[in-house]
Amino acid sequence: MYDSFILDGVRSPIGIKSGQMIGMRSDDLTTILVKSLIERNSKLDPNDIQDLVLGCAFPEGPQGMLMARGITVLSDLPNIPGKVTNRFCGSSMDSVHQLSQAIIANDISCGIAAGAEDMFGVPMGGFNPNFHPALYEKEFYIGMGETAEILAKKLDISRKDQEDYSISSHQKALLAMENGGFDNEIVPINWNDKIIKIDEGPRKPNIEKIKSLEPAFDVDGSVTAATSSPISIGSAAAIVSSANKAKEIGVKPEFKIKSRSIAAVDWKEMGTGPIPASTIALQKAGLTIEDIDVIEINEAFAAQVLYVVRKSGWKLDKINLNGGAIALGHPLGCSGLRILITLINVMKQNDATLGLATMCIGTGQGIATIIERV
Amino acid sequence: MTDRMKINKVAVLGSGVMGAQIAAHFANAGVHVLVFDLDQKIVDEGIAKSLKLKPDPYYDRDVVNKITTLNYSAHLERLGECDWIIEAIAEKLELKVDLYNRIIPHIKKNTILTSNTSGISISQLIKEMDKEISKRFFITHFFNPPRYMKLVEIVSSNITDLNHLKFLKDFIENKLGKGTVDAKDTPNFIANRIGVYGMMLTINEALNSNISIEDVDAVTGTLIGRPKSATFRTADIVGLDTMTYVAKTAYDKCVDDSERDIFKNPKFLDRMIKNGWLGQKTKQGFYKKSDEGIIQSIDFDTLEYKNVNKKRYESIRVARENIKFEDRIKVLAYFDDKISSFFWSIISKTLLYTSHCADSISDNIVSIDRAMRWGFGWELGPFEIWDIIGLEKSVKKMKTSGIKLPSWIDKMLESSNFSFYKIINKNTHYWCFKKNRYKPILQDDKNLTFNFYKKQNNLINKHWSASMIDLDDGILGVELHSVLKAELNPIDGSIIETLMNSLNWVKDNKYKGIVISGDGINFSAGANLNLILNAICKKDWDGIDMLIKSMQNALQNLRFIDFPIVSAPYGLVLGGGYETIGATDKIIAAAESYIGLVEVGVGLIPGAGGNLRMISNLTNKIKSIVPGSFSICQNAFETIGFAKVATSSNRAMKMGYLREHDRIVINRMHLLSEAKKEVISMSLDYKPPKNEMFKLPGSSGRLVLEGTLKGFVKSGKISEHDAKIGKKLAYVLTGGSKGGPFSPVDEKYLLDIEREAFLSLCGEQKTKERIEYMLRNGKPLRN
Repeated sequence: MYDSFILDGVRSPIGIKSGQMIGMRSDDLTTILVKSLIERNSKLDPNDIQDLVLGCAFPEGPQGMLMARGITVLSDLPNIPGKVTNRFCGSSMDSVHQLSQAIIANDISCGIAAGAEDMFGVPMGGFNPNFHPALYEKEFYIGMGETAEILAKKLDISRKDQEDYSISSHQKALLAMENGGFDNEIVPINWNDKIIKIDEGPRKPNIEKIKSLEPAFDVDGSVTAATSSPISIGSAAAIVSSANKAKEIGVKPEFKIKSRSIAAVDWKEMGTGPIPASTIALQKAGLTIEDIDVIEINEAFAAQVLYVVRKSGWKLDKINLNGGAIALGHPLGCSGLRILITLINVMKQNDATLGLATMCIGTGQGIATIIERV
Repeated sequence: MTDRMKINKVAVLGSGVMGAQIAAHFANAGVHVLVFDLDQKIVDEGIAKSLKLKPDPYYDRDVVNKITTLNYSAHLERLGECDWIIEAIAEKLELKVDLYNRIIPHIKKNTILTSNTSGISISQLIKEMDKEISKRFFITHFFNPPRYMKLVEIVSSNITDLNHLKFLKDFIENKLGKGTVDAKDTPNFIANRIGVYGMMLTINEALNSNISIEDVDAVTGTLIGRPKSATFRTADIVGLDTMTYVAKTAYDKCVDDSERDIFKNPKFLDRMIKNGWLGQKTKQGFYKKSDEGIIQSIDFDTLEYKNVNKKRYESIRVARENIKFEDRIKVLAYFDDKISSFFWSIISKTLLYTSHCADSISDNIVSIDRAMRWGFGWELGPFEIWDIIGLEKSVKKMKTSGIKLPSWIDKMLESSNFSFYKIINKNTHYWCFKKNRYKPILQDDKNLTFNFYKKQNNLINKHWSASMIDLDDGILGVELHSVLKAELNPIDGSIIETLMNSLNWVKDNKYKGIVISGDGINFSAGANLNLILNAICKKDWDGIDMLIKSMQNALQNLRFIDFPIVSAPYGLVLGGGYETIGATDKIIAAAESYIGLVEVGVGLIPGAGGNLRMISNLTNKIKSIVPGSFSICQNAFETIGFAKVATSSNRAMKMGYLREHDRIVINRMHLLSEAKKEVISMSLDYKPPKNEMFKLPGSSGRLVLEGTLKGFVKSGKISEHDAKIGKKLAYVLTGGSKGGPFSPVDEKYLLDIEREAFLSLCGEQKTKERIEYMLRNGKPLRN
């Protein structure tokens, strides 16, 4: 058996609408991270990196033309191959899985996992959306907001509960920012003559405004813009390596990828994806949820997170200790790796041993990873 | 001399409401403009504010990049780049003179310097100015809002260099699209002198005869060919302080004016100003919106606001039976009830006042009439109105109240001349009060109108709503002039028939081509909804099918015939109006054209080629290499689906209503001559267009749009019926059942499915309700 580890991970600040990052290309953004990753892991010979696997949910237009390989060339690593992987919101968690699998299979011993999405440059749905009639009939293309409304109705999750959850997401994120909770994971970006070093999403909640918002997806519904993750731009990159390779270069591997899982659910209830995915990941690791110290769950919608938490009986005080996507943003292809990177930092900050990262995926899927700090 | 002059760059001094808006209009015209103010913050804020003004001073946001903001302390040397400098600062003589002294060392030889003053005399402004500079100094008085008001009053001095003057007037007319009028150096010049007299008189008379604000506005607005805002609403928009300031200027400076007291504020007006009730800018003036959103008007005696309550007057009822405002004026002038007596009083006194001061403010009556039309938005100037009510008849009535006519009118009557304007030898002449005889109005070749050609006996055929007119040089004109609603020109059978006949006529007479346009305010506000509603009520589906088909056929014939056809739209160009111009080879559009496919507002989608035109235009504009490119459909869908109207021709070009080869003409009056020139040049080597084929997204793209509509309904953004219309629209725009990325469809197919969709929507109860509501209330119903 060849165990796989996350040696280190970094991410960009996450930009939102009308923010300072608009206009930046996601390949440039990722290149900055790859370069920074190599620089701060100087013990690793760049020639030992054997693949770059990049997650992206809409790999077209500026994110097309096999962006992963473009990034290795831009990063002055022309000898490293690259591939793009797409599992929508789960894309870059999947890139970690793929590298982990390749290491276990002894195909490679070290690679870079990355994730990138510029949702302003490439719209959700892509540039030339085109629906299959049979799938349309089955409501396969249902709006994400609508799936959140379905879950809210099913468990009777009140608007107030969703708002309280979202407010706490912002508050946790702001507190983490203040305490330097993101300092180890964010690489400052120099763009348009400005240094951008913090996430643009988190803000002091304006309760009055939150209460006054119209439902965003269903007139009679409860989900609003304040309880949904915002459209974002962001990128992340991490080194995934075998234990042997780590030893070889004299680095103590700390974050072991203990188990990986994927699962399919009803696409009209895509937000439930983390439930089966986590169950499978726990089973494979021989653990129960009680064994897990901290959880990172991607906050597509407050209603969706609350649904998973209530159905699975998770404790809220274990979840998203530094805030989640509702505050930080949700650049689709970047988010999977972003929550893994946040997870290992949170584990360090809280001296945790076992961590779970999981997320729902549009089209009805879930994905999960269990990390053990050794 | 003149041929060496040019204006590449302009400076505007002052970034207040007028300065910023004048700068905006230079930007509209594509002229690079430097705007100056005291410091950078002030000037930046001035331009920032202008971006939020309503009505919008800009044709399009993009033009703002023509404006550079600067300040006097740091950038005076940049005035050396400018060929024309226009001062628009506060109305204080000392400030203006100081500023001139400060800038003059920095301006280059030959630069023209003008002031936008509305009340200060040119003789005072140039009193201490260097002779060389003052030769190139005059007053160019723009009217607010300068983008929309045509008038620029020009006041020159006795040392003004006439070459420079002529050059600048041409520039203002050709490049800025405005109309210039020469005014004499008298207080308030022409338009404000007469206009503000009229307003103050109306206020005084209303007070004396105890007529409410709303009733005054009912009789002084569109009913008599004046702006919708009539008297008091206009005053609220202008600002009571501004209006009374202009009035005070007249009072202070026109000391010999026999009507001087009219310019004095009535007591209640002073009290309103003291209270800070200045109109729109302070949210209350003569009118106010109550907390419940009800419009209220002020009571002159109590200064309390009461809900607007229009009285019924027999004279207004009878006047309304007339389609033309000229006829309504005639009714009101000679009727006998309270409101018509009031009307008579203000109209007769205004005419008398104007005639008494005519020779002191202007060289001729033509300038006075133009000033009032272009500066105050009157359909007709005072002397034109006088001709409508009849000079002889009106003087008889005036004399019953013992008035005195100016001697020049006495002379006119003595020599048995009873009209101010007269056509002699096919040319319009005006009565010259200096020479006491008729003089011809010089016809400018650029300012052609159908009316001009009709006077030359060039009318070939007059139908109810359109005429065929020979525009000479082998060009046939089709003039739209709806018999029912001349100001809106709804497309009807008569227009379609005339268009068809014109094609044959050009062939038979071996003419070069056709221009389609009109002389009015709006090209066409769309199809005749009454006609469609009648057919719907009778469930005459075949009739509607026939109607739409005949329009489609006529427009396709227009498109493919082997000679050029140019349309020249202006004002509202909606629905069927747009479909008509969309089928022509080239569109020469007035800058102030408001183009839109707005059928969704009445529960329909375009039926006579509107969808086809948008698909075609956007396909050629976007030039996507993706077969069945979704973005083309999406663009068309958003524009038509949300009934987006372009707020200028610049915008229309961006949205795809106008095509790259179409042209925008800034001066409405040059439209017909430009269109005619275009046909002549196109006829030299004309080839008709080919029937286009379109690769559209087909059903898989349609489903994307349907999915969006579903989400919109769910989130309450649109109604179920909106979604139904949207689905039909999506079906047509994505190519119906036959179209797809690899199965191109032709124009005929698109027209067929568009007509089918139109017809099926006609059968919807909610569409019927929308049409009825629109016809009754003039605004769309959301159901």
